[in-house]
Order: sequence, then C-alpha cells, then structure tokens
Amino acid sequence: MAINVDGTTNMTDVSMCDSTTGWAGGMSQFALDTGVYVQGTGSLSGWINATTSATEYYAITSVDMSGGDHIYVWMFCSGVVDTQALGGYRVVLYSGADYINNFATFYVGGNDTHGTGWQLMCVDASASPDLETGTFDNTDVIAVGVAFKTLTAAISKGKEYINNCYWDAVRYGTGLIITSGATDDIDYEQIYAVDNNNTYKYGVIQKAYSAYVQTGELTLGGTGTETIDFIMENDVILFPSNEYVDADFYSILPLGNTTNPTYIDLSGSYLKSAGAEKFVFDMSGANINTFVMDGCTLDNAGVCTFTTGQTITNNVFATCGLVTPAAATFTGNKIVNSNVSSAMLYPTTDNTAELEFISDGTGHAILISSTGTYTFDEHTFDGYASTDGSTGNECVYNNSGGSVTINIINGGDTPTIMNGTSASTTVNNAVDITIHVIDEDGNNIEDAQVAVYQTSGDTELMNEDTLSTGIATETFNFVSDTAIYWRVRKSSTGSTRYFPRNGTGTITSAGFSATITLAEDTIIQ
Amino acid sequence: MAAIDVNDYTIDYINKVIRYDGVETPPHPLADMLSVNALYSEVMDTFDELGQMDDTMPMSAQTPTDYSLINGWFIDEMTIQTLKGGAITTIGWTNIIQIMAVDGITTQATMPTDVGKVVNDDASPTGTLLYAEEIDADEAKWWVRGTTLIGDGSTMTVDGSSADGDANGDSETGNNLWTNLYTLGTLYGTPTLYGTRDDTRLSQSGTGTPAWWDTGHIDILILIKEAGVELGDDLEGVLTGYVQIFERDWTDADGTLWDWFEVDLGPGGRQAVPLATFSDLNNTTAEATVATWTDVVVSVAGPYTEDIGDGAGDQNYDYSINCGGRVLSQVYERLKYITRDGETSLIDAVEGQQYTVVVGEEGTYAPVKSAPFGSFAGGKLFGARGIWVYNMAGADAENYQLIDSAGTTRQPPTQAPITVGSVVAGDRVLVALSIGAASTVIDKEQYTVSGTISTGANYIDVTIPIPNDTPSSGFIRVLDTGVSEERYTYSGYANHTFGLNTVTSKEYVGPTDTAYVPYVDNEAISTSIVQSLIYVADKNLVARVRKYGILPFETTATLVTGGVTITAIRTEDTIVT
Repeated sequence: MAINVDGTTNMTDVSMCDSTTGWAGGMSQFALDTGVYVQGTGSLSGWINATTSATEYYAITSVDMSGGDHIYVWMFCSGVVDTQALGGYRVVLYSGADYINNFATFYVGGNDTHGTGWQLMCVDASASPDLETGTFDNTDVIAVGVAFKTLTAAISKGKEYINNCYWDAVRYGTGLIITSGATDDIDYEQIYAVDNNNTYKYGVIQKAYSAYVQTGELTLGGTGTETIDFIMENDVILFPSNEYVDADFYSILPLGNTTNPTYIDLSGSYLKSAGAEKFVFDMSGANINTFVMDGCTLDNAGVCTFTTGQTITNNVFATCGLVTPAAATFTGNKIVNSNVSSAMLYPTTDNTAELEFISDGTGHAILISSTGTYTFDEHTFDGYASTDGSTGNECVYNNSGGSVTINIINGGDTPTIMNGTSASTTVNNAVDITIHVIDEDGNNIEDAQVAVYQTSGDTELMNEDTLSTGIATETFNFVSDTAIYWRVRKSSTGSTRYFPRNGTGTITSAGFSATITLAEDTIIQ
Repeated sequence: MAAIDVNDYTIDYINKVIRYDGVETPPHPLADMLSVNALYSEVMDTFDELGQMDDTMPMSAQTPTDYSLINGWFIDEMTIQTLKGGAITTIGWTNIIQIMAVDGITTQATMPTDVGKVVNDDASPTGTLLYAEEIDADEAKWWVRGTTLIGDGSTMTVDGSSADGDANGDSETGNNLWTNLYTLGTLYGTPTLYGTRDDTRLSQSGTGTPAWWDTGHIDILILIKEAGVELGDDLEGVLTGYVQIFERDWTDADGTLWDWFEVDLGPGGRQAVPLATFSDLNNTTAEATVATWTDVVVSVAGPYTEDIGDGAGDQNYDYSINCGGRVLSQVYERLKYITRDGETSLIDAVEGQQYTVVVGEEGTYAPVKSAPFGSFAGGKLFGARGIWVYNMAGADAENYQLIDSAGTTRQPPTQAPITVGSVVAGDRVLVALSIGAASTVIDKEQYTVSGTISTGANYIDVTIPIPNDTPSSGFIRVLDTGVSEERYTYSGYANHTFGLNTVTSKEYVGPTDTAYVPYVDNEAISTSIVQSLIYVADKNLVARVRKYGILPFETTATLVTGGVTITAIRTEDTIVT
C-alpha cells in the first residue's frame, strides 16, 4: 500500500478558486485567471493601485472554527505588498447573519514576512484580528475573504489594468493525516510530493532549499485501523514563525491502534520552530508499535513526550518545553537551555542514562514528582546552581511532596537539589576508592593497612587491610570532586616491613584509584 | 640501672609527642641506651595499625643512622638523651613549634603533667606546652606548639598550671638537628668524657649539670642545629656546628695522657670521635696536693720577649709561666691541673677545662692534646707553642724545650758548671781565664777597654762582644795599665757593656787599659763553690784558693762541656804565725 495523504479529514475546502462562482466583494476587475495559479486550473484575481483592495469573500455554511481550525489560502501579488503590520496580505472572516457588518481582518503577511510568488497564508480563526468590524464570532464563520494592500500600482494596458493580486485554494482545518503500508518507509519527501501536487496543494508540507516547511499538524497513522511506516532520515523540518497560528498548531502526532502497526523511525534530522510558536512533539500515543529517534535535534520545540517501548537516543532537545521520557529508553540525550521551569519530568523507572543537562541559568534540569528511589546513570549537569537551595536553578526539583532517593552511578555528576513543599532528597553517588598495593617487584602486598581521609575535615573514608590481591577498596558517596590524602603502611613485626607511603588525590565522579608501590624497609630492626 | 626499653616511651597522639617516661635517670650507661633504630622500628610497628592510621607518621628513616622526626612530631631533650646510634633531624617545626627562653619564673612547669596545656601569651592562648627545661630556679626553656611568634617580654601563663614567667627574647622557630656522635679508640681506665658546644659544657637536660652519659666510650645525640640555626659562636676557634670531646680525667691514680677531638656535627649523621689516652706516670700526684701548688703562675698578657740563651737572642712568647722555683715535673702536673675536667677557672678568658692552645691561635698552633701547656717525658718539659717558662729549679735549667710564638723550637743552652771543692768557708776562691793551656798566668787582657770610661761611670765598655759563658753577675776587674787594678761588681751585661752595681773610681782609657772577668771570684761559704756557666767552648783556666793559715793553692784546668771540678788542696802553712 502506498502513501495516503488525507487532506479532507482535518482539512475542508472552502474554494479551490477555479471559478468566480460563490465569490463576492468589490475588488477591481475581479476575475478568474487560468494562467496564474497554484492549484487546480486557475486562481482568482483583481487589481489595485498602491492602496488597499476591497475584500473578496466566499460564503460557506456556518462553521464553528473555535476548535483550532486555521484558514489556509495561497496569495500572490505581482507587485509589492505592504508590510505585514500594515496588512500587505489579509484574510477576512465573516460571522453571523449580518456578516457584512461583523467580520475580522487578519494581517497575515507582508513584504517583510513573505517573499515573492505564491505564499501560503495561515491564520487561526481564534487569533486576535488586526481589525474587527462589528463583532466577529469564530463559532459561526460563514464566509472567508481575502484582501491586499499594495505599495505598487497595477500595470495598465491601455485603459485597462492588469490584475496584480491573486488567490487560490482556500481551505480551513488543522493539517494532514498520513497513512501507509506496513513496510513503505514513507517520508517527508513523499508527503511533500502529494501535498505539492497541483491537485491538492495543501501547503502543510512545503519544501525550500531541501528543507521541509511544515504549517500545521502532521498526523501519522490513526487510532482506528490505520497503518503507518514512517521514517525521517537526515531531514530538516522547519516550522515557520507565524503569530496568527495557535501555540499547539504545529505538531507531529503519531497515532497507533491495535490492528495495524505504527512504525516511526527518526534519525539524524533537525526540527526547528522558527518563532514563538512551538511544535508539539507528542510521541506518547497508544499502540505505537515502534518509535525510534536517534541523533535528532529538536530545536525550540514545545512539550516532547514519549512513552514506554520507545527508544530515544543521542538526541538534542534545545530550548524545548518539558521533555517527558516516561518509560521510553532515553539515553545519551542532551537537554539544553530548556525554556520551561524544569527541562525533564524524570521517569519513575530506570530507563535513562548518560543524559547531559545544560542550563542557561534558569530552570531545573529534572523534575521529580513522585516519591521513590531514582537512578541517575552517568547524568551530567552544567550551568546549574552549585549548591542545594531554592533558586529555581538547582539540578533537581523534588516536588514529590515526600522522600526521594537519588543514586548516582557510573560516574555521573551529583546534582544539586531544590526540595518542594514537604519534600526531602537523599543523593547517593557511590564511587569506588581503590588502592592497590604492590612491592617493588610488582607483587601484591597483603595486609597492608590502607587509609584514606578527606582533606577537609579529616573524615576517614577507608581504613582497612589489603586483601591477597593487594587491593583495598571502599565506596564513597560522591557529591563533588573531593580532595583526599591517603596512607599505606605495613611495618608490623613478623613479616616483610616496608617504608610507609602517603599522598594526596581527588575523588572524582569516577572515584579514586591508585597503585602504590612500597619499598622494603631495610633499615628497620 | 636497667636497659631502656621501647616500652619506656610514651606516644602522645594528641600533642604529637614522643617522650621517654621510664624510670632510668642520667647518666645513662651506653649499654642501657636505646638505639634510634629501635625507637624507629617500634614507631613503625605501632603506626601501621588500624587505630593509628589517622595519625601522621612521626618518623622516617633515610639511612640506618639518619632519621627524621616528621609531620610536626616533637621529641624533648630528656628523651633525646636516652638515645644512641643515629641522628635525628626534624621536618615541619618551622612556624609550628616555638622555642623560647623564659625568665622571671616563680613556678616551674611540671613535666610531663603540663604537657598539652594551653600556653597564654599576655593572657591570650598561643599554643600548647610541649616541654619545659628548667635552667635554674627562675629560668627555663619552653617548647610551645603554636604558629605565632611569642614576643620578648610577653607574660606567660599555662592554663591549669601554676607555671609562669616572662618571655626572654622573641621565640624562635625552625627545625632541629641532633647529630649522632660516638667515640672510638683506646681509653685508659674508665674516664668520664665531657664535651663542649657553643663554649658550654654539654650537660643533662633540666637542672642537671653533669653529662647525661656514663663513663667510658659514648654514643650520643647532640643538638647542633636549633630552630634552623647551627649552634656555636666561633669563639676559641671552635667553629659553629663543631663540638669538642675531651678526656681530661684526673681520677685515675696512674694519671692519664689526655686527648680531645673536635668534630663538625653540622652534616648530621653519625660522626666518629677518635680518642687515645694512655697512662701518664708523670702525673701521679694526688689532685689535692697539686691543688696547693699555686706558685706556678700563668701570665697571659703577652707577647713576652725572652731569650732562652740559645744564641738566637730574644723571641716572642704568648704566655709566660713562672715556675715558682719548682722542678718541672711539678710544673707539668700543675699545668695539667688547671686544665683538667671540671676546671672552670679562666685562662685568657677560656675555662681551663676547655683550654687547648694559646687563645686566639686555635687552628694555627698545633695543640698538645695530652697536656695543653706541654708534655713531659724523660724528665724534660716540652712546652706547647707560645709558652715561656722560667724560674724553674736550677736542676732543671736544661730540662725543657720550648716553641716560641713563631713556631721555632728553642732549647736552653748547655750549662758548664765550675766546681771548686774541698774548700772551707772563708776561703777566697778565684777561677779565671789563663793565657794558655797549663798556664797559671791569668789572662788580664781578656777584654780591652773601649774608649774612655770616666771616673764615676756605672759601666764598663769593652771592645768585643761579651761571650755567653760569662757569669750573669759577678766581678769585673779593670786594669789601669801599669798603675792599678780595680774590682767592680756587675749585675749584668749586654753586647759590649757590663752594667756595674757601683761606679768607677777612676778613669780608664782603651786600648791601653784592659779588663777580665773571673768565672769564680768569691769567698767560700761552704765546702764548695759552684758557678754555672753556659758552655760556649773549652777554656783554659787557672784556679787559686787562698786563706791565711794555709799554703796558697793554685792549679790549672780546662773548662769543657759538662763543666770542670777543681779540688783544692788545703795545706796548712805551718810557718806563718
């Protein structure tokens, strides 16, 4: 089964602009143009001379667009439109029976936000309009219109002007639903190929300079009986800056079902939201059979949510919202400069490792919301508050309301802690202190007394005899690099006696290890 | 006395002190003292135990005879004096341990009770007391563990103790070095050796003044560097860092040829002091007896210009010894007496027991170690360099040999006594130079008067140098040729001139007038007359003995080395009435 791009479930055609039928308004020389269009067989057009055009609108059956529907319309000016702030490109939504007197105008683009040629304009019907005449009700939208404001005059041909303003393929909705066969390995290029087809030209997935520009939601699979086998490999996905779209409008949303598989495999790709509008990266849908993400960078994303059975490795979450690995395998990832108060909601299962948290000076790395014992396996923290406290920049925010124990393993950094109300946190970073004692011939020395003390405060960390292996070892709860001094002595009568040795060192997150060679004391009686 | 054991030492972990707490008191027999190695071994054995791992090691060993007290651990002088066989240097005392002199004491610190108690400097805590050594009733030396220098004049108190005092000078801080010194060689008898360092006798810690070692050979640790500074003052030629070890024992009835040795302890380690002493059969007089021979006087205000009569004229000597008319064997013993062990009377500002050579010439003049003023052998005194002796018994006039300040050996001239025997008191005796062998004619032209000697002159000048075999005093007979012959007494002579005890009764004019000096020109007061002369050359003599009632006796003789004896024949003159 090949790719299926569903542009009707979540998208509704208003007018494909292949005829003037249904359009009304007052734009000069309003007409169908079959030579200039982006979808279908033609576009609609008119002209204006360095001013604001009248609005041409298309009546529809009343639609409640308050649930997130966005208007999609392709617009083109052969001259130069004004800036967005001055309403170069405009979308007008009408509501109610007296819609002529109740409409909202959205300045969706201009010469400073869009280039030349056909441009997809997208606006949330719930966005704040730049102009509102009467009272616009987005739950009762009955017409969709367009208008232009140009800085240039239309070119005249004798006494006639040549139209300079065009629009095409007017729709509303949220995005596309993609399904495929179980082994199709469909990708953005294939989706784009359908989207960009003249028949559809949804504009949800565009392409520029080999990067894909996504406007809206991309649903992969479904919760019914759909199948999806999707890969994203070394792709660049951009989510354009658009203040007129909803904050959760941009998203990639895999969905699964119990009937057919949902395979999602992302690798080496770069996904970035260019503006304040984040893209939601919610991979936590049920019944997603396989979700693998490796080596990707999510830049300026919103919440990033995963679920059990998924594998998320070696990715970068830069300036993202809350990352929730849940029970997914979540290793080798870097979470940088989170834009929320806590970068990651730490899972209650030990499914993370080798995470690198970097702070820009605000926010916690990890939020713990449940009491219990957690393992921090080789996690590192950089840029966070260096001591426990309540600055909001501690590595860990224990907001469980109770007792939390954190065990640091495999040389991870010891995090600083901020405890929420009624919360307490115990950090155990057990590293090994190991001293191997040998003689000058390299033979192990048994029963050498080995002691290690913390330089500051002289706390005894180890004091024991070496085993037959010549090794004495103890564990140490590592918090930070700790200066130590050590002593090795073996000078009891009845066996070979040695000169004592002592020295200094540092217990790092990797512990402390040293091999000490004792020289036989030939002076002693 | 029992051998000192490692268990006699206390390790004070709190105050980081190793201290001898045994019952044995000095002087310690060498065999009873503990080797530093044994102490080191015990310390090492102790500190490798689990319970001691939190304590720093007190000692380390560099060689079997070089040890270090490390990590600021402290050991006191009393403990040091129980040890032998190795040197100890400290590491880590600088700015950790303050050493200070304390005076104005009303109550001495009690050892070891006060160890570890807080010491106050002008009522502010400055450290803890590690050791206190009593110097005398109101003076002591304190060791304080503290990082801050204690200034001169500070009022010192000790918490929980009545110990008090005033800092006498700023405290000093730095590392110590105790060098190991041992003697070897042959010692006569079982003498007690003694040593000096920094112009002071080495003595027991605390109030004790004797040495801390027992009789015989020694093996001890001597503090030679304190607070980082080598001890010594370069006085008496003993350089800083050096000590001298003496054997000048008088107790042996047989007498002892002494010895001493100077050794540089600055390098630390184990330093050998070779000594060799022997029986001295010339020094057997009881000490108490010699003590009374105070008429032997040493004068040190030289240089003294003296002529021993060896023909070389005057020479300089540093010291002059008036023998008080004693025989030189007694002089020898007296000079040993004033330089014996325990003698603190000063010789040129140096205690007699420390005297080695002329003061200021140490290192230049070769010392006579067996007896610092000179040795005695074969009935003859061999003076040390720079020593002049005089006024010894006449019998010993030739029984000595000196070395002048320039280092030249000087011998007194050979005496040639002229003895005229078988005379009786009242006999007039004259022995004079004759004009030739077997001639009874007196050589009255022995001298020719030089120039004109006016009447009333107190001298007689002659044309030739006056020979050494001329008596040092006597009579000169001057001839007013063809007219008269006068007899004048002279008290001395030099070069060409006789100094008279009187004045001339007339004028004499050379070269017409002549003079001669009889070797004997006196009246006998006993059965013989002896005139000691310095032998210069054989001389032809004529001797005459006359007295009313006997026939005049006249004979000839020859003065040879060893002298000459003339036996008078007194034949009664039966004719005279």
